[in-house]
Amino acid sequence: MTDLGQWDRSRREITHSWLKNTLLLAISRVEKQLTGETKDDCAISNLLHVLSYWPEVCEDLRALLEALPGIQMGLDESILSDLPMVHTDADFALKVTRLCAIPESNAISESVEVKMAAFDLAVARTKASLTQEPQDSQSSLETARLLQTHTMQLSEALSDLGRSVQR
Amino acid sequence: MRPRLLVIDDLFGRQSDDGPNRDRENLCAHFLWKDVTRDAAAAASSLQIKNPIADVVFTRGQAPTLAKVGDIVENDLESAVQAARKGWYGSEKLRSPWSLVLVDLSFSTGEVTEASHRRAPGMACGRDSDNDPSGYFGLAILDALHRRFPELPVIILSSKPREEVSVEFSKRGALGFIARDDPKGPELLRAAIATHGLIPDETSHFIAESLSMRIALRDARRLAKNEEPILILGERGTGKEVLARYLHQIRTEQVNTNTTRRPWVAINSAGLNPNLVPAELFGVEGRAANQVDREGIIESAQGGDIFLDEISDMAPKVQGAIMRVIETKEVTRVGGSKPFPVDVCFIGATQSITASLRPEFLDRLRSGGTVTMPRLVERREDILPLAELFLTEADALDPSNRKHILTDSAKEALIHYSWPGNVRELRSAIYEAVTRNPGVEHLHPSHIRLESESRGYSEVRQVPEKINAHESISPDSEAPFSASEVGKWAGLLPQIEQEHYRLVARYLEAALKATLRRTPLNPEGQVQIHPAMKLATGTQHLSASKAADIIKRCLKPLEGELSGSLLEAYEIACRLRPKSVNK
Repeated sequence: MTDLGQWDRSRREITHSWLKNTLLLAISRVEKQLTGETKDDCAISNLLHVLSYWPEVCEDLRALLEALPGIQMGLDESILSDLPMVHTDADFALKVTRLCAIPESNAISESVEVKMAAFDLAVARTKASLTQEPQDSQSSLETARLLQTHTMQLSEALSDLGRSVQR
Repeated sequence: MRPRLLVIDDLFGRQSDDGPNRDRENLCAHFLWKDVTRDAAAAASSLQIKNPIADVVFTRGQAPTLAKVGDIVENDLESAVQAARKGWYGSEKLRSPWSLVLVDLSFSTGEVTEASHRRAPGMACGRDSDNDPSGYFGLAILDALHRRFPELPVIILSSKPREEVSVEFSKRGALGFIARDDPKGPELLRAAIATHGLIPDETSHFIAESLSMRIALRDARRLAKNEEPILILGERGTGKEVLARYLHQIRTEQVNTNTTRRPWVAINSAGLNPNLVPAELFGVEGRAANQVDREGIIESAQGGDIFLDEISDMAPKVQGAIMRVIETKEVTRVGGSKPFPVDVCFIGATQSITASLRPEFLDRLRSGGTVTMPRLVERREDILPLAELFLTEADALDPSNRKHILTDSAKEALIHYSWPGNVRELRSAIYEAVTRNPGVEHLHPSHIRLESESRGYSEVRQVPEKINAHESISPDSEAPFSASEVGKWAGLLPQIEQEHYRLVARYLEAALKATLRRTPLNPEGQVQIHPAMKLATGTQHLSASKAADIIKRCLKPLEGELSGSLLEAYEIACRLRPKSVNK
């Protein structure tokens, strides 16, 4: 995956379609069921079904991160070729600003990996909690909320990554 | 009655042939919505919301709604507009109009592949152009809705970043943006419904089935959020004081009412004697030992609302005194030496802005905004529910009487009457009919006195004697056919008819222009279809409903090309006569 367009489509698919539009809402649905605001026999099975896609999504995410250096290299080359020859202080300042942006996305990429690990743990804990017999509603609610926090953090990190690459 | 929302979204509006739409269920649980869509997805859902905050109808805005692997899904602007139209004023068999519409931004188009179907049944795999912020289909929907239904409140509900479209969505008429993944989304939506939603009155002050009344209530809710002075404009009998009490109640509910009672004081402005005003309004401080301190009206409303009715009857000296209180937020009792702070909210009411009102007083009194109460003819949908309410009230005065029922012909007469005395006149007419006819059950038109002249009302609107047609119409010079082309006319009848309607439309436009109602608040002028049609037809006895019917008949063939005052007139006519058949 060396094409920026394809890379960004995959990133958006994970961020918007899975994390934001599906997972966060499925967690919220479980939360509403556990707090008694809804009567919903399918909330937990639905969330577990959504979470069953995590290994697949995780692989896609790893592929995104692995492809990042290649994408980055292409971008660096285009950034450098776009930069003007240094004639004035302003040209120099522009060049420094653009070059400084490159290592920033590497740092964000590392941050995504950290968030993935934390998310992975939260998924495992949520699955365990929701499938435990007899179910402890309070504990399930807490793990669901924790998963919600990690989902939002991972989603934010992926958005940051997208922004840094498109800069 | 719960608010009714329309959601236009590809993911949540889609249908599949294998059970409920799980994504839609997730969204409904998140926002605590009851899905009332008449589709298979809603029917297959077992989700139950205990206390729903809204009833919601979903639509996909794409074709086909139910897509299978291999199908090509395309955006369908007309279906989105049709869905909005079905639940909006002017549509046939309307049960409950939209309170708010929520529109997604990015819609996935293209082929439904095995992979996209596995992730979300019936969803297309998406094209690159779907995710280009400048070409979001949701923005095109916004444009179309805003153009066709300017009063329809629309909010963006999306998981896309707000900053991508923050300039565009407001430019295209959306009132806000709620991020779908925001955990605070449900609270934000509740607030949006309260601020922007066209919802019925939950405080039981008003019957508000009509768009114009719901807009007035929405405006009032928006203004009641702060404690600045508010001006209520409205003809006699429209319910200005009731609206003031509505504002008072909303403000009361905003503060903790369990421990504190928010005072309410209503003053008839004409009754304020300029010479006695200082003592009446500000109170008296006893100077001698045998004199007691007396609280003034303003002090008695401390922490609450003061309603000043008919401010145009208020003496200039009194206006000056009240203006100073609004400005300084303090009063000094007569005989007192030190001012003390007062925390009161002023609500003024008047039928119109007259020369007797000091401009600086008016500016201060409407610094928190103005609400205009619609005339009863502008809220036709409310006439029968109001009449039924007054009938029940009047019957309750004497339980020994038979209960009265309005016949269909009486209902027709009530709907088609012009009600110059507004709600108060309707109430009087119903009470009088009940009192004068204790022995009959069925009230016919003959039992209800509707002659406005007999009640002392008169039409006050000035209508010019003739239209300046030369200014707007020059048919000869613009006729698309010349005498030498007669032979080519065969088959051109539809075109000729269309040109004929255009000519009529221009005549109507001139009539509308000549009868614009200009006020200091609206110097551009407000379109009035009833006087315009009286002028255009030369018939002074034309009813408002007949006027609406004529406008609908003349402008319907040009529906897609109307703009400006003609479009406004057509929309007013459709709202007034949503069910009328054009004969």
